[in-house]
Amino acid sequence: MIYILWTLILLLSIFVSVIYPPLFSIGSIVRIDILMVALSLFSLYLSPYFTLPIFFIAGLIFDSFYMTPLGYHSIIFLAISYVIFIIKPFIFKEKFLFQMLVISMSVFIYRLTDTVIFFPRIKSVSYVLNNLILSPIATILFYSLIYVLVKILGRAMNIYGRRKQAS
Amino acid sequence: MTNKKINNLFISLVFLSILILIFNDNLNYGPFRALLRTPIKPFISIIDFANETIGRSMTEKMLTQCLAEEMVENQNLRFLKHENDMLRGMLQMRTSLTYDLIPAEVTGGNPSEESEIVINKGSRSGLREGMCAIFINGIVGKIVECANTYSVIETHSNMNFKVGVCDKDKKYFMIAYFYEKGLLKVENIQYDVVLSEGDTLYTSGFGNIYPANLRVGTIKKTMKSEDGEYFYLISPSEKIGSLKFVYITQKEIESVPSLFTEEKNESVGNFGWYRMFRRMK
Repeated sequence: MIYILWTLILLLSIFVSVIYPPLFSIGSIVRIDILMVALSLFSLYLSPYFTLPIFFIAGLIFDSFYMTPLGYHSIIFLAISYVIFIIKPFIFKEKFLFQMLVISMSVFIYRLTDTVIFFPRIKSVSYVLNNLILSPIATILFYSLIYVLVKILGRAMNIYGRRKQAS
Repeated sequence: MTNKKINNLFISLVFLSILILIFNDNLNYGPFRALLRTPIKPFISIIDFANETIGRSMTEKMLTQCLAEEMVENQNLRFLKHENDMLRGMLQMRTSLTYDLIPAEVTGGNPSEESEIVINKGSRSGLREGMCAIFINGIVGKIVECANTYSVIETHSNMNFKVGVCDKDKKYFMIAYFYEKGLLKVENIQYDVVLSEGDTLYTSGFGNIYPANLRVGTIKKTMKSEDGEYFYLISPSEKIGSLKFVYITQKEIESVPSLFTEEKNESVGNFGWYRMFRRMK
């Protein structure tokens, strides 16, 4: 049941990334990779038996929307997920700093691949700057914001629960 | 052991991805791409529905607002048209009538009874008590009080009002009195008077106030009084409540032949006990 929920969240993040990119972007140029945030956190916390196949399919869905060669995003997502799976035992995954590092690494790998493959077509320095610097920073800032909000919400819920128990 | 399984899974998935990637140019992935988009379609439908609903409500709001604005504009246009018609009528009246007309604006009155109205011109503008107030549709009343800068007009809804009236062909002459607010009555109808409901009555010109041939009103009903006499109820042509302007005029008394002026005769001599007179022209 919980895996259905994760799948739905993943589909939602794909939908938000694909259908509404201007909603999660700065000036429609610097995009926030919500899917990469989801991918990183899923890979950190969930079983690879679930994450690897699901990211394989997610990559295919992503390709079908972006009209990139089918399988391109699947390979990248699988690679990122596998890298996270390898480094997972060596980090404190509960720490915010490590989470940020993992997310930034994921975004960077994804964007770097993207830049290397598509730079010959676009040939723009601003494209490289966006992809390699601005987008990872924007994504990390977005995740920080979400993290803080979730923490505040959790703490508020905790206090509310304690008060209710006391009364 | 677990790692090995995961490695195998990873390698097999990567291999599958590469395989799909390799056959991108050779195979038609169109239907497969369409199939892959299927899981996202419910989200798209939900968002489209939400957008459509919000858009529809916004459109409804905008349409309601537009309709309200159009209605206000329509009312303004109607008002302007009415005002334009009124001003045109005033101009036509001024050119068609031979009397000197002094225009004045209605500034006050008693709206409930409509028996009196106040206009913004007085003796400084050449108005005097006893002058007649008329407008496009007919007579309004007469000035009963005249100050320097304003005057009070006693309208046809005042209980003191009376005016000499006649029919269009000037066959029958009668007097119209106040009956009730917005109604006049014509009593003492001669036996040979044949007027029906809807006939218009005009001022006869008798008296020193109202010039002749001004419309007074139309016969609304023929009624029978308690003593068995018939009388007409007349609906005045000019409605007092909607008046904004009036024209003040004065009847040229000299130009109207009076029934009561004494004839001047010249004595031409005696015939027996009788004195002979010749009518002077």
